[in-house]
Amino acid sequence: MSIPQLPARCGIGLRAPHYHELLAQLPDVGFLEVHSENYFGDGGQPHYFLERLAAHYPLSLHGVGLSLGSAQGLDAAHLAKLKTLIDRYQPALVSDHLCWSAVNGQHFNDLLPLPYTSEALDIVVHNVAHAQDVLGRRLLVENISSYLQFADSDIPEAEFLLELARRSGCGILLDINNLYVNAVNFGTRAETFIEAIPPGVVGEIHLAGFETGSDCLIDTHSRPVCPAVWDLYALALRRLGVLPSLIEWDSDIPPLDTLLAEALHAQGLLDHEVQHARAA
Amino acid sequence: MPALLELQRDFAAALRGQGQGEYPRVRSDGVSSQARVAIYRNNLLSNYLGALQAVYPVVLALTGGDWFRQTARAYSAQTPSSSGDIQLYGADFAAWLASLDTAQTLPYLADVARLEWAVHRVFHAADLAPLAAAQLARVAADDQPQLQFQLHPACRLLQSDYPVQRIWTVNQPGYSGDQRVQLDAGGVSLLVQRQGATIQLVPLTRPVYQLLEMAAQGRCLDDILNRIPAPLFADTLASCFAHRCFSSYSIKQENSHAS
Repeated sequence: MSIPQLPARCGIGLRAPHYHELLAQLPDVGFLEVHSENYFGDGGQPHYFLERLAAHYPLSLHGVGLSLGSAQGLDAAHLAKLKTLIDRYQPALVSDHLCWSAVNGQHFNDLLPLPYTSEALDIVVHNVAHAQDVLGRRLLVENISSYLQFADSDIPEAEFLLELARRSGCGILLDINNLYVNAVNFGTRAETFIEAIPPGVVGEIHLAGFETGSDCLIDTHSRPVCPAVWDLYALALRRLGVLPSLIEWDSDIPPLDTLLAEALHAQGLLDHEVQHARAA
Repeated sequence: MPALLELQRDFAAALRGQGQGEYPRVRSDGVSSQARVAIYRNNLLSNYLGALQAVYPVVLALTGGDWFRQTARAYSAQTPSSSGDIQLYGADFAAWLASLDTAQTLPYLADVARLEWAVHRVFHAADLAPLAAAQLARVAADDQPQLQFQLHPACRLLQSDYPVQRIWTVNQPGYSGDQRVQLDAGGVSLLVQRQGATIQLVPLTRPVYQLLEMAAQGRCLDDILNRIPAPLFADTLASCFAHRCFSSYSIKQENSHAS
């Protein structure tokens, strides 16, 4: 199975409001990432722009709908569509989330948390292995933001994700904002999670902004990255080495320049880490 | 049954429920389990609402945000998504609208929704080269009665008793012309089509619509010829080609289906 390779630089999420401007300017970012499902249609404007932009940038396909934690297994039609998209674009990376979103044929189109139990781990390992077999690709699986924890959970999230990676052969997509959101929501330490991860298993980092709800921080991808998340990002780079990193911004989408400024900030931290590593 | 499946079924019921009572599977930890589940329930509603708003902007413009939100909420309570691809959500929203009391006061609303779904599907349809009439020269004379035309995937047909093309057009972003619509202006037979990135609504004559509809049903040329008046046939077919409505043709084999 091929090992996905993206440059260890900062990329941006490709969203429709930026199509024209990106193609006209071709700014210097490390890669583009799209939500796979947004390109499940056969043609039209989404593919028009993706084809043209993919000629200039490495591409990462980030799914939100595989439902890797479904106790009833994966949706064959969804996998087949993803396979078609992978065959069409040959992306450097393919990823989805450590979550579930469907049961009994009902899809919630949301990233729902799993109970972290040994039974759930067996199921996710099986599903990820199945997806990787069908897709012929190694997946990266991302830690999600949660607003609740199940009483059944008896494995720490980091351990669950690492064990999933070890047993299924998948990599980890480390979302630093999600770590922070969960740490605030559940009174845990995000640093502990980062410190539990050995080098080599993380293939990409995500950065985004959140909003403060009445009971929880809500992972809305609608704001700049907050200072505490930048600090955690710097910590993650020090521990794990430089990694492809993405600024995600999915709602209240800002002007392209704002997004690029965020990416530039992340790139500065990546460059700093490269220099630091050289000096050491 | 795995404990995980049981949990997922329970959680699905909680998401679709009204949020009374505690959820013992969910830790409370300072925030009640109801409040925690409610965050997901609200996310779910806003995902479905967002999907419907994206596909049905004209229905939204015609009815207003409050009414649309309420209706979307009621629709999504009845109609869970059946795909991990949210872009497929809302396929039968028009049928739902037609079943509401609102259908009495805005009788054209469901047809506008049907039109918007057709526009949505055409927007994402495959980019295939249209079939050119000259390509039919290869069909042997003996095969002609069995000829079938495949409707181009970026073409959809729609009929309404209301002037839905006009309603759609005056409600597009950036439209600055006369906003008035004469509801008694009569119905339309439309081709909903994408040319490049541009969605076009093309009013069709009765025979052209009829021919395309039969082609979409997989009917053969001899069958079509039986139903379209002979003097009109050549012009009607030429019009279909001029509108670039077909993507391919096939010859129907005995006891087999169209490719």
